[in-house]
This record gives sequence, C-alpha cells and structure tokens, in this order.
Amino acid sequence: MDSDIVFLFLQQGIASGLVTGSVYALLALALVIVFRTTDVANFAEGEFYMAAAYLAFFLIAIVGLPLWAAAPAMVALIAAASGLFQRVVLRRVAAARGVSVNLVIATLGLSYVLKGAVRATGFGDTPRSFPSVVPDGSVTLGQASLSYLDLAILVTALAVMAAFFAVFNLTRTGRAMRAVGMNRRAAQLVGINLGRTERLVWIFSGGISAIAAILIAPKLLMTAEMGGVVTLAFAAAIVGGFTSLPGAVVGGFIIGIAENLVGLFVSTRAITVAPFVIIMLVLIFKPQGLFGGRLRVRKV
Amino acid sequence: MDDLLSLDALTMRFGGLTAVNGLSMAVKRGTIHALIGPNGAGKSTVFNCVSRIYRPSAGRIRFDGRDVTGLPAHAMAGLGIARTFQNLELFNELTVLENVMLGAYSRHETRLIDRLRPGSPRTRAWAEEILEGTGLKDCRETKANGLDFGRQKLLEVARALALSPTLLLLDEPAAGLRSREIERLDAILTGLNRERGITVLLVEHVMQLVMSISDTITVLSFGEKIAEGTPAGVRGDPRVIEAYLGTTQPGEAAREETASGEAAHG
Amino acid sequence: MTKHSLSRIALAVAALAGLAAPARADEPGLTPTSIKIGMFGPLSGASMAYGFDVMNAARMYYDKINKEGGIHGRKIVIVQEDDRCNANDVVAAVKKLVEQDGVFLLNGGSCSAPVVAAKDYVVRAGVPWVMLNASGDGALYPPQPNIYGAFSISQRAMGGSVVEFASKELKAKKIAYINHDDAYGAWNLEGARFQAKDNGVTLVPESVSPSITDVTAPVLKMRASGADALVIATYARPAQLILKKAQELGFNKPIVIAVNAIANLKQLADNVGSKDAFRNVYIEEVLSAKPGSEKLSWIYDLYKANYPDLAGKPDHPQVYMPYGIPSAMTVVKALQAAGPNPTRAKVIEALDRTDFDSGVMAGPIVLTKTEHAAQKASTYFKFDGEGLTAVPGSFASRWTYQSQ
Repeated sequence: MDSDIVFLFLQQGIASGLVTGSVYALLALALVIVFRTTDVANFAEGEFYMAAAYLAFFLIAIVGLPLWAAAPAMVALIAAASGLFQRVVLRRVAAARGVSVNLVIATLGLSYVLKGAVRATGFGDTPRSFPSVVPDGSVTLGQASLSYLDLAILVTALAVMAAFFAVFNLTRTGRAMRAVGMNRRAAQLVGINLGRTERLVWIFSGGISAIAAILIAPKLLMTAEMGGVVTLAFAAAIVGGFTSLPGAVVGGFIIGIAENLVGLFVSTRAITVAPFVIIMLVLIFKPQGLFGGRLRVRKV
Repeated sequence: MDDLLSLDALTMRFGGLTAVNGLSMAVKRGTIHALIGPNGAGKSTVFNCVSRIYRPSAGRIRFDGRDVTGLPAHAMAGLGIARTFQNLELFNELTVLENVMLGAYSRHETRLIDRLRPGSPRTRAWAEEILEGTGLKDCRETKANGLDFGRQKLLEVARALALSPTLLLLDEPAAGLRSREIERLDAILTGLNRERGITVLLVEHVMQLVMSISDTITVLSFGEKIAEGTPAGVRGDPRVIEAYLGTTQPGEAAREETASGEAAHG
Repeated sequence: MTKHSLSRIALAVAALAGLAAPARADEPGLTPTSIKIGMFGPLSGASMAYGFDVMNAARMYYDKINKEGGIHGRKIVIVQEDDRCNANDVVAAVKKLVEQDGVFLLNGGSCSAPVVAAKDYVVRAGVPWVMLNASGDGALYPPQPNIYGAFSISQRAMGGSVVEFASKELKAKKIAYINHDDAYGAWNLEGARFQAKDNGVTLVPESVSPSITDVTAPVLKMRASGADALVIATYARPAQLILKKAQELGFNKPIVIAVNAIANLKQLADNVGSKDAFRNVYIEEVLSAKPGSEKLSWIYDLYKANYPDLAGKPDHPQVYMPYGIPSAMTVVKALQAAGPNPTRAKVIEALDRTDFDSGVMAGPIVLTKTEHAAQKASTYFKFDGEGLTAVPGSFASRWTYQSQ
C-alpha cells in the first residue's frame, strides 16, 4: 500500500470514525449515567433508541409533523417513557429485594417488549428513513470527505454531550446524581431524594438515546434490528471505564475510529470483530478502563 | 415544645421477631440523651426507625410536635435531623471538604442561581467553619478514604453538622476510637450542645463517653425500656446491672473497654 | 378354538391388511381423478412478502390447468401449509404434507435458509420437491435426486450474471464486488469469481457483515482500487448505505445492484434520498420484463381474476408474485410428460428433462440430472431513481457444480 493511500485512508477513516463515534459516544454516555447512579446495566437502551427512531418516523411520515416539531416531541416522549419504566417496573423489582441481576433482566424484558411492539406495527419490514433536514453536499477536509449530514451529526452530538456535562457538573441536580452513584445511604442522609434522582437519570438516559436515534436514522437507515448498535455502546463504555462519563465519550470515538481503520487497513470482514478485540485488550491490560481510576475489587 | 423528639409505643417487627416492643421515650430539647443496652437490645433498630430507614410496624414518632412517622428518609435532612452511621457512610472518593459541602445539600443553595454553581463561596465558607470546629481543617484536601479511622469518624460527624441540624443522631460515635480521640469527641459534642443548643441522641457502648456527656440515659433490653434517668441513677439501677448479665457494673465496663481500646490502637 | 372361528379370524386379518395397504404402494396422493400436491410457504409472519402471493400465483396456474381439463384426466388438488419462513415450521409442514396428507409431490419453499432444514427428510422420503421461489443453494448443491429449485435464481447464478453484465455490457475490466461474509455471500461470490475468470476480468471482492453500520471502509477501499464498475450483492439496507456513501465519496463509475438488495425500488430511492446517486445505476431483474409490462400482463390479469379482493388491497400483488408461475409450469409439464400412469420415479425422470421458456423469467427453465437449479439468467434496467429503462438482452451465469 503506498503512502498516498495510507494517508487517504487515515484521514477518511478518522473523519468518518468521529461521526459514527459521536453517536456511539452518546449511547455509551446514556448507559454509563444509568449504571453509575443505579448500578443497572440497561440492556433496553438499544430498543429505546430503536423505538425512538420509529416514533420519529411515525410522527414525520404518518402524522406529517415537520422535523422541528416531531424531534422534540419524540425525545420528550421517549425520555418520559424511560422515567416511567424506572418508576413502574424497576422500583418494584428493587423493592421486592431485587438484586442487580433482576433489574438487568427487567431491562432485557423491556427490550423484547419494545422490539415486538415495533414489529407489530409493520413498519419494520423494510429499512426506513425520514427526510434529512440537512441539504445534500459535502465538505472536504484534507483528503477526507464528510457530508453536511455528517457534520450536523457530529456538532449536535458534541453539543448534547457538553450540555449534559454542564448539568452533571454544575447543577445541584447533577451533584445529586453523582452523590447517589457514590453512596446511596449517604446521599439519602444529606437530603437527596433517591427515587426522584434515579428517575431523572433514566429520563436523561432515554432522552440522550432518542437524540442519538434522530441524528443517525437518516444516515444509517432504521430497521427493527438497529438496537444492536448498543453492543458497540457497551464496548465504548467498557473501554472508557464503565463509571466514567468522559471515558464513555472517548471510548465511543475510539470504537468508531477503530472500526474504520481496521476495515481500511486490515479487512472489511474484521470490522465487526474490532470492537470486541478492543474490549478484550482493555480488559486484559487495564480492566478498569482507560478512565476507570484505580483498580477496585468490590464484593457483589 | 420541651420534647424535641418523642417516640410513642414504637414497635418494629421483622417477620416473627419483635425487635422493638412498644417503646415510649422523649428527648428533651437542648439535652444530650444516650440510648444504651446490651447487644441485640434494639438500639440500632430504634435509630433506623427515627431516621426513617425502617418503617415502624406500629407507633408514632414525633419531631418538634410534628408526626414524621410516614415521611421518607431523605426528608429528614430538610427537617433538621442528621445522623451518622456506625460503619461510616462517607463519600469515599471525595475530599474532606467536599464531603462536608455535600452535607449542606439540603440547607444551602436553594436559590436558583446557586443551583448552577458547583459549590458557592457561602457553602465553602460554611464547610470550612465546621472543619475548624471539628479539628479537620488541616486535612481538608485529603480524600475521605485516605484518613485514619478516628478522623473518618469525625468527618462523619462534621458532615452531619453541615446541614445545621436541630437534632443530631449519633450511631456509636466512639466505637473503635482511642482514649484521646474519645476525649476530643466528648469536647466537640459538649461544645455543640452548650454553644449551639444542638440536641443529641446517641447510641453507644463506650460507657466512658456516655457517663461523661449524657444528661439522660435510656436503657433498652430485648426491645423494651428497662430504665431511664441520669447517669448516676442508671448506673446503680439493679435492673440495668442485671441486663448486662450482672458481670460488671456499667462503670467498670467502661474502664475495661478503654483499656482494651488502647491496647488495640496503641 | 374351532376351525370355524379360526377362518373368521384369518378373514378379519386379511381384511385389515387389505385396508392398511395403500391402493398402490409407491403412489400416495394419486387417485384416478386427482393428484394431490402439497404446497407450503410464508402465509403469515414477518416474511410474508416473500411467498404469500407466490403461492397464490402457483395455485391460480393450477386452477387454470384444471379448468382446461387437468392432466391426463386428473385434477390438481392442493393442500397448503404455512411455514412462516421458519426452519422448524418448514420441516413440520413438509412432514405433515407427506405423512398425514399423503401428497404425491411437494411444491413449496420461498425462503432459502429455512428450506435447507427440510432437505434431509425429503431426500429420505423420496418425495419429489419442486421449490417455489427460494434460491435454495444449500439444498441444490450438491444436487439431490429429488429436490429442484432456484426458479427465481440461485445465489451462484446471481453472482455469475451480474459479473457477466458488468464485463460484457459495461465493458468493465476491474469489477469491485461487495457482498456479505455469510453463506449466501460465499455462494454468490463463487459464481462471480468463476464468471470473472471465464471472461478474463479482475474481481475485487469486499465482504461485509450484514449488520454493518459504517460502510466508509469498504467503499473507500473499493474506490481506491481503481475499479471501473461496482457490483453490490448485499441485502437492502447495506446496499442503500453503500449507494449513499459511494455518492458522498464521489464515485462516478457504473453501479450494478443485484436482486438480493432490491425488494422495493421506491423504498430504495427514498432511503438513498438523492437523485444524484442514481446517475449511473443498474438493477438486476430475474423476470423477463419490467413488472407490470405488457409481456407479463397475463399474469397480473389472472391474479385479478382469481383474487379480486386481494387485488384491491394496496400492497397486492406482492413484488415476487410472478415467480410462482415457472415453478408451477415445471410441475405441470413433468406431470404431463410422466404419462397417464405416473409414478414418483417417472415424474423425477421427467423433471430431469425440463427445458422450456416460461416467458416469465429472464432465462429458460432447464433441469438436468446433474443440475437442479432451474433459472440462471437476469435482465438489467437502468434506474434513475424514478423510472426503469431496459437494457436489451439477458445475461446468464455459466457456473456449474462440476466446475469445482
């Protein structure tokens, strides 16, 4: 492979990788904020993301709303549904002396319900999209080419992440979330309402997944199976250290770029394997993840 | 109201086991009140009921004249009730200062503008004041899990103080402390009580502390009150002696404990 | 026991034996006036679109034959089962049709993967099985004595045909070929490689996972390879992503989309979103003419006549409906060739001599003793995002099983 091609591949691989990586980063963030605060690995996140895309499709293509109305409506609905799930299901499971595993199984159950519901509507039979608000056309950065849609995705994703970090680090609500993640008893002691904080975390998580869906659907098309991307979100979160928010974001970008570079320099068949190889490497050499801090062993 | 905290026939059942059976007691405003008794007497259970971690099976809990039996645990901070845990529930990854600042979560920063700042100067100043008063000022940048045990216990108290409590519930604050540390705790609690009028209810085994600072002592055995009164009165009460298996007097038990405590930490 | 009762018992046993034995030991499903054919396909479920109307088409052809007098005086009687395109249900359907309904032959199967599950049972049972529209490579290679299929087109033939089109019609010397890394992908690549070698052109394959989300890598590599045509042999979603990405990366050479990727042309155009992406795009079609054209109108008219209620519904007839016709035609011709006293063996012998032009498919329907995949050619249309323009000619794959 001559050096011209190598440079081209590097530039394009990184550029495109940043775009898909930003979506993986959003999804990983949504996973980690729930896990960090409530110790639950949310296996339904992929399906929230998928349901969000189809709800948007329904609102835009069937009900006929314009994107600027449908998007916030859909995000709000999905976020509310996520909070409702926490309130109605998870709280009950936890109150019935639920162990973490039971809660995770509850999320798995939700994932099946959501997928079945979408399939039942019949929309899932062919890949779908909704019209992109961004005009056609691309920009060239060096030798890499990114469409306007790509840029819009990247910029929006970064904005959402920044907004969330602001809430998490600068507001009282964010402080409550962090405290609950550190020590539930102590958080309750200082006056933090555990139930409400957890619900808020789930609402944020659902909202972020929904935004990720609406960003990526015009680019990647939606099918009932699109929730499978959550595996990559888990990979990103593991790489970053499952309790670190910046780690989740960095992990997302790493996975996105790695997928492309592996596809370009190794083989396209290796693309699906790449994230898992990365997980393995991280778990072998730095099991707490890149940003996971000190290695801690906890009794479960 | 003279009674800041009153328990009215408080009963707690776990399945078939009755841990607390119809306990009625009152903690007078501005006093230091100790709850003692042999292991398994139900002292921790009473504490957990008052701080609303458990929901009592029967009976009522009143704070400052208001029935708080049905309130959720996180509401206690807003009412001015703070508690510490025997096994410590600190925010281990945070510094001493950050722990105390978090303690003020419910009291300060209720204005919107403060909601957007990670820790306003007012909260910081308040936390510094508390650290000064508990002698932790020098280690304010140390992570909680980097402190020695004695200081960690003090930090637990400091954080509780951050919410400006009217009632301070202390769960075995002296357990595991050396003699010198117990004296310092004694001084701090006495100071809080005299200078700020904070009412203190403590569960304790270390008799040195109990006898020294308490205004009133309530003795529990098998979930029921068997004696109540001043330290002198309780010390000589035959029922109390019998409850502790009649092997030693409460005063002697304190001397033994301190000796073994020094041996362990010396 | 008396002699009298002994003989009674003997008579009873003989009578029972007579009842238990079939009228003719190796000819189930056959009476002097009827032939029972067992049909199966997805009548319900997520994959309904692959076979529901295909079965209807075959059935309406059999009805037509019956109205014209049947075959050697016998009417065709259909028993049908729903297999939901699901391996377990296919096997259950086949077993029921063979054992409980005692059919003479099987005419069913629209989905390739589940269809393979029934292979072993059908081979053991010896019942002739003519698939409907399943491509069925897994059950056709190596060829089984009594299983026939690929009336739409097999995966191998699909690969061979697109390469034939790219090299002969588009004059490409270096053909980029994007397929999947699953079994079907391996099969269509096999046919493609053979055709490329035979035509003296270079094939540059890139195999991707069906669940791929970011197609930057394969498309960029493809462009960098200097290919002068691109063949997309993936499923619909990845194909649409590749089309979009090719446009974004400024690839302006001709692109050929294989049938695997095309279920719904309007969806394809909508999802890709930009007319610009269709400047130089061709699609593969296994029918002999555009769906809805004059040449095929008799099929659609027959459908309307037989299923007036369905024809009124928006999604009917489904895209693949005509594919049922060549399969049913093959069955009918073999039954006719087997004569007035058919046996399964005679029908199989007749099937192995099948060679006719159905007028429906792009190429002739040919079955021999060693080749049980029936249809190997395709026609091509230029697609500009809205309309189709036919490219004259049909392009056939030359891969055969022995050529390994």
